[in-house]
Amino acid sequence: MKIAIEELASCSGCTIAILDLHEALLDILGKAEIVYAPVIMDVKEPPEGIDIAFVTGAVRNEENQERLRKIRKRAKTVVALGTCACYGGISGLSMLFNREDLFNYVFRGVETVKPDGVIPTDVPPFLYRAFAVGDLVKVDYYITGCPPKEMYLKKILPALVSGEPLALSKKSVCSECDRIMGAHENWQLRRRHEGIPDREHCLLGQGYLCLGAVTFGRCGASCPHSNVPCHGCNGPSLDILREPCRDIYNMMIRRIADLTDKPEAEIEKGIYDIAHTFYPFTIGSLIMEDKGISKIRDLIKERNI
Amino acid sequence: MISRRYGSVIEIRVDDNACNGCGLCVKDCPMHVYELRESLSVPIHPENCMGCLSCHEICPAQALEHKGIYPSRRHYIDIRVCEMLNRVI
Ligand code: SF4
Ligand code: SF4
Ligand code: SF4
Repeated sequence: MKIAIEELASCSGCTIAILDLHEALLDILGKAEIVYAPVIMDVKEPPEGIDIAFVTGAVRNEENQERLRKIRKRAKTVVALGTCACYGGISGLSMLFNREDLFNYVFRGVETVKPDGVIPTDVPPFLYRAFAVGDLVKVDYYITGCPPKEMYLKKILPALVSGEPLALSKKSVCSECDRIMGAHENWQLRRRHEGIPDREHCLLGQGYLCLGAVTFGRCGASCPHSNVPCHGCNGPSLDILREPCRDIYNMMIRRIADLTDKPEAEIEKGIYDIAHTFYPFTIGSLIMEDKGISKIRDLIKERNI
Repeated sequence: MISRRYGSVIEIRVDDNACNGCGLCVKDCPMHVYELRESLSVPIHPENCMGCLSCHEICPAQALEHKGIYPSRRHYIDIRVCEMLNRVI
């Protein structure tokens, strides 16, 4: 059994999440060999005959696209590992700017820029938009999470390697959260920096935009557990992925309306920075953008060019 | 236990690990099937359930299961979504 891990537009966190298995990794390596993984070993190109290729990161430039096509050809099974690969992840937020601004920011506007101002000519050009891996090639499995949490990878990876079936809960982050939810009369939206949330009650009920109800659970609700509202880093809950009329934004507004009896229009008035608040992990996903009710289309700066 | 009187009752299960006790299903259900007891939803009148599954839509924790009842057929299905759904681990 040959395993590869490919890096596209990502932070390498997903590969580090695999290293986070610690000793459990040795059990996997007893049955499988890692033949290519740029972050942890020095093999320049993926060999032929890979059994399972984990692809991490979104597709944002021509190099990402070429690497993705190559690994798809050379691997029997391709697993999109992490939310960037599954839904575009935070790399997708780059679409809030046009390509020229992006290029200037990354290569001209940073402190580490060379004083001679010469831009290398071999920088791969950006594609006209970001893509999730599944938007461009066939994906056999999706493992979400930014990064995927080791408590789940410990179960998923051995099952993938041995081909054994695995049944994990596919419910929302709320289903993993230990807070008490309830109706609220004088609900008021609160920014994350305002006040310190009470630990016992639901953060959404306290006015914080906790995305737990619209997010796929795979983290043991770790942020609400640490008194931080969920940012949605596991990608959308499966009901939102499945139902054409449900989207992260509209279902969040509905949840708040259900809990508070406030009219949806009034709740929407207080909403700020829709891209970073509701879509930070899914804005790069064509599947999520193509929902008729998605707000992603309106947020993207440059497209179809 | 099987009896004629309860023969047509829809079996409703609440995943008590998942339920956050928000009470939205209690408020939402037009047939008053649920009651909140000690911060958990309890389907006290499953015999009244008409299978609309409105409670599935409203539950933030996806805690509710109705045996043998499925949402009505949708007019629009995105094949990419269907394929992706089956492959999420
Ligand atoms: S909305 Fe957030 S805080 Fe409230 S129950 Fe869900 S995950 Fe927990
Ligand atoms: S609670 Fe939300 S933001 Fe935090 S790890 Fe889980 S999915 Fe990610
Ligand atoms: S709507 Fe869901 S989480 Fe809320 S009380 Fe009912 S079963 Fe529990």
